Amino acid sequence: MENINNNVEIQSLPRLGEKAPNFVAPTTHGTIRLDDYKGSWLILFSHPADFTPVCTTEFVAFAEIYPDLQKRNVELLGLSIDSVFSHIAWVRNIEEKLKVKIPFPIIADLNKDVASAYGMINPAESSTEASRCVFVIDPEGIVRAMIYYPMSTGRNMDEIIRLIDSLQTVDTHKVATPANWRPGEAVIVPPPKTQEDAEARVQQGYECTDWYLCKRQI
Amino acid sequence: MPCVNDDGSLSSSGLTLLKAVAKASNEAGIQSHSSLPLYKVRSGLRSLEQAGLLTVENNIYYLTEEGKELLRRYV
Repeated sequence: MENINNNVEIQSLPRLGEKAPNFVAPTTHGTIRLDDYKGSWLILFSHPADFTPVCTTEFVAFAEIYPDLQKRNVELLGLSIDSVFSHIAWVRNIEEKLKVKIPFPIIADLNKDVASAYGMINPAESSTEASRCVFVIDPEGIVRAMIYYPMSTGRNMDEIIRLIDSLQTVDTHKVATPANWRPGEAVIVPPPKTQEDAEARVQQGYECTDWYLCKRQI
Repeated sequence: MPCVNDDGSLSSSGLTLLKAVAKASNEAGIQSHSSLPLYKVRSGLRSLEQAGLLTVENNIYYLTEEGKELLRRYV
């Protein structure tokens, strides 16, 4: 077991299915609370620093998928351990140099309050910057998915949209989605919980590989 | 883009929200009239309330005299 320095504060990470940690934070769109997003899905994502190359490509990519996310009732909220002034300067620079307007707010988390509450800082990677984290929070404020990428690797926007589509499909139809699932493809029917259900399942017209792996169209 | 600037003037989204409050009094109606995302409506209304431009009672928003006067100056 590793020795734990008493001066190091042990932060608990958000867990799937639990309430997302609340916050009130300064952003490029004024002061925002997590509660302001109640009723919408929220993608809260962090980036290491403004004016850095991978982050810039990610911000352009997030801005490009923002209309598709809005159609899905999803809002975007960025975060880094930089000031509002830095965020504003960077956003303006992106607009000037890359001709892309950043339409979503960015938290200026200089005191690391939000980053700490969400476990966005991985000290072995950097103690002064947030990693590339994505938290998907549902309209009730529940953490539904988390993705962590290292600083060296930009995120995949297709996967983020696919994840949202899966979560919304799961909620609407009470199903699960298989590997590499895309909207329009067959979904997985939850496995039966009793032997009787298992026997009935194969009679129900689902596309069954076996009693525990049945799919259907929605 | 806070709704109220440090000098007390309104940002464009602040003005949009204040106009929407003049037409509708609940959150859904204000969102509909402003065409702003819900998070922006909520954070903006809070900012306008803190600036004394509106009050809220039982989730119904009312322009204060100061809010009405400011709106008259802008419109």
